[in-house]
Amino acid sequence: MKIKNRKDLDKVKDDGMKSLFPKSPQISISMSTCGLALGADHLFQKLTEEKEKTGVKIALRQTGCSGFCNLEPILIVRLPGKPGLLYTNVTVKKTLKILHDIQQKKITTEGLLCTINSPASIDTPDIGLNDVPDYNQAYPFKHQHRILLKNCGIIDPLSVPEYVAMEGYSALYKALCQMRPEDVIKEVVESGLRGRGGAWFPTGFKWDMASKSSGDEKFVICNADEGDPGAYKDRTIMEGNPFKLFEGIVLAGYAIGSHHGIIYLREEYHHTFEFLNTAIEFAKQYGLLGKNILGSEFNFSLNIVRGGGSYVCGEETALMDSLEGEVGDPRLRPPFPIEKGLWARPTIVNNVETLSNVPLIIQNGGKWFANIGTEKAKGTKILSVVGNVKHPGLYEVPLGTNLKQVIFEMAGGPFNGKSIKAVQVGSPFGTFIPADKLDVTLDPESLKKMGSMIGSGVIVVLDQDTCIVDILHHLLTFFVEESCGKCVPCREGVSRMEELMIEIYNGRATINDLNLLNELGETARDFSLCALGGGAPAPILNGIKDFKKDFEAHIKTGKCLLPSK
Amino acid sequence: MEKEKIEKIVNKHRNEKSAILAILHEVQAEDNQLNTESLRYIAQLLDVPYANVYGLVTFYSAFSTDKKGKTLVRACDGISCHISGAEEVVEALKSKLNIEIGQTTWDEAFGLEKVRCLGLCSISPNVSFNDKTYSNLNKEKILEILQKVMGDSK
Amino acid sequence: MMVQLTINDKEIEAPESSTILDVARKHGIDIPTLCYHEALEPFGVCRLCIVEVGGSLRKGIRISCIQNVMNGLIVNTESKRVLRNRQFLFELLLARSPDSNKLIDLAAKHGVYESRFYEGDTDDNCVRCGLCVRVCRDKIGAFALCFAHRGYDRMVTTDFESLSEYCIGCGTCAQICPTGAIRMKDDGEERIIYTKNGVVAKFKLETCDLCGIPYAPRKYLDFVIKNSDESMAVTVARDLCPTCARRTGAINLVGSMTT
Repeated sequence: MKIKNRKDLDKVKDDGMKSLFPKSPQISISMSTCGLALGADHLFQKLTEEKEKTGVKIALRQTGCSGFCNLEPILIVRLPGKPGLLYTNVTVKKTLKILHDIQQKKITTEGLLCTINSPASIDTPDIGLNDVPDYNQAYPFKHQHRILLKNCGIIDPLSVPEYVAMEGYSALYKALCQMRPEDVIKEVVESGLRGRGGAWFPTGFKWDMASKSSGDEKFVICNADEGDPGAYKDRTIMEGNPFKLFEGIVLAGYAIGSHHGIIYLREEYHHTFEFLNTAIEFAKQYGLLGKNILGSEFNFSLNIVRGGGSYVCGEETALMDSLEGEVGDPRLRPPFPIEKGLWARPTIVNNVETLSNVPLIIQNGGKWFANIGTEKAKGTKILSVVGNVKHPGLYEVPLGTNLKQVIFEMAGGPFNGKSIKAVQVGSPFGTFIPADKLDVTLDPESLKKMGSMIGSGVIVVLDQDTCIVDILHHLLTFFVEESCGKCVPCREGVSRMEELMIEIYNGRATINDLNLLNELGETARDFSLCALGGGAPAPILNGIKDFKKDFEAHIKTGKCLLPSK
Repeated sequence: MEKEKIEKIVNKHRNEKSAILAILHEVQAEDNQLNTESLRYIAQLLDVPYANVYGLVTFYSAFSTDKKGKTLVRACDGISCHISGAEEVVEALKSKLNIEIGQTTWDEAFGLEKVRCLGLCSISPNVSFNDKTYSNLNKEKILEILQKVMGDSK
Repeated sequence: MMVQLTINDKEIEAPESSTILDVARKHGIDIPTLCYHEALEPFGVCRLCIVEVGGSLRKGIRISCIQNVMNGLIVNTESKRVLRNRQFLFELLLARSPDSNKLIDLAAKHGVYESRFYEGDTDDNCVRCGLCVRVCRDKIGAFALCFAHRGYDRMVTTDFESLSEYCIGCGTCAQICPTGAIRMKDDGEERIIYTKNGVVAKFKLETCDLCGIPYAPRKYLDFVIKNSDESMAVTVARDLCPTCARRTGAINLVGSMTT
């Protein structure tokens, strides 16, 4: 059914509530890329077979990625009159036990992490679940400010009713019925939202400029290339709550006067591609994309284009070249995309996380968003904490949160009693911060002083057994592999840096070579055409300064520094 | 690939030059490679110089003018996988398949590539066999999986 | 509209729409370039034309082939920083182009005589300036050349790195190449256009109807006829080498003047 008015929206919301609080038992399995990689499809198949064998009356559904892929496969049980029950790391044996217990009207406690009380609390809580924390108080979800990731891993990502039951599309409805495009822009400006893909550019300002650019055709591009190794937050949003992203894209289109949106998706995300195309079909069926969205006069079409496997295509001008059927060579600027972007039309390019914030801003107001975070860095940031930590995953926190708190209190610190050697914050271009300097708040000013940035929010934790020379070499091979090769400083400079790093690693270099490495880095940093060549030297040059002992060990012996006790 | 099949794919994208990435993906998925004849024909249908098409195919990592193995093994080499022991997994694959990165086995059954990144950074190391991904790997696990895949493909 | 700026302490007036490089060169101030050519859109990739700016632009280094001039701009084309970085860029370029006399001379002119970087024997003297690709694509319209691969492996080649079906044998690429990486050789009745990586195209040269010398490939002549206006097409269709064409043209002209 196409949602054409408030009444329709309320009806769909009701359907969603019935789905989230069903009248008969329901089991959902997380079937995103991560769940599938850990055998969720096999589990689902076994459950289906068991259901057919025993004839038990139970609905089998799917959920999406929660950001904590190491807890997958995640299973949610919904029983009438009870809050949702979330189980982690389920196996076939555990799943069949849960099914069996449901038939016996018992609640399995093994592997039960938490209850799920949203969107509405159950009136008569179960005494047997008193000791089980609710999702928001359960580790690892507690300590977080999960507004963007709220529904990820909880709702069926392909269910429009479930998203609407969680307040989805109320923002778009409000915008199309009660707000003018400039009002939408005003809220986004007031919110202080800035680009979450790494550029940190003020979103409202960008939209304002684009709305004023002349042209009868404009484009909204959602940059879903997610190239930073260690980052997967965009995948989680796309696979856990795609309609939130779509809502943000349509709001962007409405704000700037565009009727065409394109999601430029990372080539390596095969499952996400199929999945998003399915989600788009569902959105169209409900009148949330296409003509007369939500019964309004506004039309907006959305399609997905897969990248070809190139990190540089995450840079907005290279991305646009790629969409035009060319290689991803960054363009000279000016002109800027808001004046002459895709096919020389005014274009805005925004990250998945940035766009997903917009429905929240329109629903709750720009002021509400601006109250989260710090004075200069508003809202939350999804951090992808990976590497040598006990609990890697996606942690959504207000900007300005302390890095040490994130690593130790939230992610559990390093395992096996080891100490931290360094942490790379923000992106592959972030400096590796030594262990004694981790007491820093996650906001652009504080991080800039350390040679870091908010970036895409990747936090890579390295413990005492890590060789920094090895890590920096590995990083350089990434930059060399991904350079487009257009300009001399990056193509020649960064490649020569990698050659030198190999010599250093194998003990065939001298201190002079370190000086040469510095010169190369400065040239690439100052004269490259784009941020890939411009940003690549920083972690290398800072790494040489901060981890002298690692380098000296390799230069003298060709071997790694022994781990400190 | 037969001309009719290529025409069908190009027509599906309304013969638009800008859809060339999508067209190349689809032709390669079906044919397991993008050989010279197919690429020339795609260029003709889209009225694009051959040189442009060649530039595209060699620029993007996803495309290959050589025949890809029937099962493409992609080992993630992102920083998280690297820290968690991806190298050991890659060495095991190279040794068992007896090929280097970027090569295909003599019987074209398997091709081996490194990729950055698969977006599964909290369950690394990761390897995908065509569209099926496996996570939390080590040397023993990957050899077990490879054994099973080799057995299944016979 | 004209603007006032200073280059190397020299006060200059120039049109607003010109670049620093244009203005400097017009006033006899030398700034080296590799990827720049007046006939083509600026590419801005070799970075040799860096200059130091100040005044009405924030102090820093700019790429002069793409930076427009403005009122109150102060430019220094030979500051310490510019010279040091330019020399470094030459070192990087020499490592790719170790046998190019043209580049060796240009680098020497700017104080660089050798490179600290490994000079691979597989290097092909190509500095990836893109002039050949761009002229073939944007001016000639033959589309015979492209950039293939990416990063350090980026190279200029033909489609599928094989003999080009599109090349018309005009040799503009060889003419415009600043390092001699792409060359044209006429040997008897054969023309070959080639790089160290392979042959771009081979042609049999047509012979002049009057004097019999081999002078141009058929494909090139047909291309000119097809893409020119009628008077040019008629001229080229006479199958005369440029010398005989000029001579007969002059004779005809004199003939028409004296009758």
